[in-house]
Amino acid sequence: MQHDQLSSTFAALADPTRRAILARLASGEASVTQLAEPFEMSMPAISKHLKVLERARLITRGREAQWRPCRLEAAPLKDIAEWIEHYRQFWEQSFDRLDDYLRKLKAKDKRHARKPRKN
Amino acid sequence: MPASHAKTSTTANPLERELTLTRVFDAPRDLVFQAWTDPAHLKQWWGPNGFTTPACEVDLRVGGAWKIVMRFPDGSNEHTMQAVYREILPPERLAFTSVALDKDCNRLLEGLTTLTFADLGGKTKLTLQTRVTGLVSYAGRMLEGMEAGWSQSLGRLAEKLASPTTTSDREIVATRVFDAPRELVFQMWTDPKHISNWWGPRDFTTTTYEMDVRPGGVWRHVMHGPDGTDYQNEIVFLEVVKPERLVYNHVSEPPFQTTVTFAGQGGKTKVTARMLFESATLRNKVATEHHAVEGLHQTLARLGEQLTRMAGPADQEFLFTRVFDAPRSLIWKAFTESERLMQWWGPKGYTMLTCTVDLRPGGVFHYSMRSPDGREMWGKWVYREIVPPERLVSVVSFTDAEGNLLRHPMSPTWPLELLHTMTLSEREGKTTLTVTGVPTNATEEERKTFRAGRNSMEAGFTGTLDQLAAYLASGHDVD
Repeated sequence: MQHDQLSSTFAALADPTRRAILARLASGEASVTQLAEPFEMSMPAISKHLKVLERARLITRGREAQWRPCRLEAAPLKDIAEWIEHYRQFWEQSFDRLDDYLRKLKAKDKRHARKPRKN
Repeated sequence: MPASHAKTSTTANPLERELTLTRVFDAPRDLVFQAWTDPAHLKQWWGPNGFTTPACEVDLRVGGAWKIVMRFPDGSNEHTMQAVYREILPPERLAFTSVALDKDCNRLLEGLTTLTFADLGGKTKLTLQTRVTGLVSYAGRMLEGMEAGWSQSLGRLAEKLASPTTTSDREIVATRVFDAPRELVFQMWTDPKHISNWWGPRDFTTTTYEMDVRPGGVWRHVMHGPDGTDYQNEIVFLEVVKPERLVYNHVSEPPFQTTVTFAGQGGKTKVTARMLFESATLRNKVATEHHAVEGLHQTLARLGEQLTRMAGPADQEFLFTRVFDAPRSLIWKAFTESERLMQWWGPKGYTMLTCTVDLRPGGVFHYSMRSPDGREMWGKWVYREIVPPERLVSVVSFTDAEGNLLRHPMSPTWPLELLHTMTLSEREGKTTLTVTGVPTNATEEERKTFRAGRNSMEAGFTGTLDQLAAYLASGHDVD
């Protein structure tokens, strides 16, 4: 199940239009008409994107009367954010170690500076 | 996300699935690059605090593998990162795709990482950008029934990545040999000025918004279908090896990965384009609903036609120019209305018998005429592009009465189809007509016949256009 959820999150995020829709929803809920405004796209095309986002549980649609506002759902994005955080920690700690290692190499280099070197 | 570490600056964007880190190291650029690419160095620093690196293998070439095994601080487990180099430009750039296990040890994610090393006068600014491209689609199958440690299973995963035999049910492949040098064919595929002239299936046109041909770079374009539908496309390049190889991910729907190889064959170039889908189901869906198999072949055919056109009139085309003392709109009508064509079309001495014109892209001008020695001949033009009153592009051939293609009555190796481009320009009431003709879908032998027979064709055309001039001068036709 978890695997399927992350798969559909990635598939939904692969499209630039859908990413733009999510970015817009990050600043508050909006109607389909409002979401369609910045794109040169037909309403059915936008609705299709919204359905993909809804299935990936990245958005929910309200029940309020006519305009059924779309809202961003943060939970699936949290998975991705966690992943990125995981990468970040990995790289930062590796960078620290690389920093120490390069310092050591330089120190060694200085000690051997007077001797002829192979490289 | 604020940087938690003072020395490293970080930006992360979950929507773009992207992370960028920059850090300045107090060491010369050559040394930092070496530390990233030499296994002896890598073993000394790779991984988070407390981890050790019992094994590291580096095959430093584009497409080569890089494997690094990390042992957890308590020795309880090992974790292998498996990567493939996508770009190597010492000491400036390094790019690789990698497959890594997630924190819960039950999913495999794939990412593209690009490193740039900038020289700051003895120090080095390193920028690392990682983009998580997605879940490894076959990871589920790989993770089931796994017996031993991670390094072994990831080793098998790497074999799976390398083995082409297991992918035949989820790929679409097309191959074509082009009569052009490899550098030129590669350029056609990677230069935004060129690619829009031939990209896509027959009757599609392409508009490119941006094209950045390097690993991680994006090509955003729209394909306009013949029925007016627009298809938005985003492609991310993974591998760029000039002039041999291109690998890119199609990230808009439907997702697939394309590998294009360019092989030199004594001045000619063999191109193999392979679209790989994540499942056979998706592959078959795209093949059925989008006619992708036919589309890929048509795309390669159009590249061939574009290369032929670019080879220039000196070698390949026949080119004909003539000035008429008549306005452009009148010449256009003489070429596109059946009653008028009946009056003048055909070489000298031929009589027009029938003529139908369906003037729209894909429509046909089909005609018959009698030769001076009494034989009946049929021919047709299939319209490709119609821009009244200045441009008419058609595929021209001999046919039978039903419109089936026939060989040239006098030359069995004459190309079956010629692509004619007619342009009209008007100046001070006079009109210059330019016609270029070039074989299309032709064999080498047919092109040879065409090259040899170009002069006679020009002579034949002169006769036909003499009749047009006479028709215009006769005053039968007024605008």
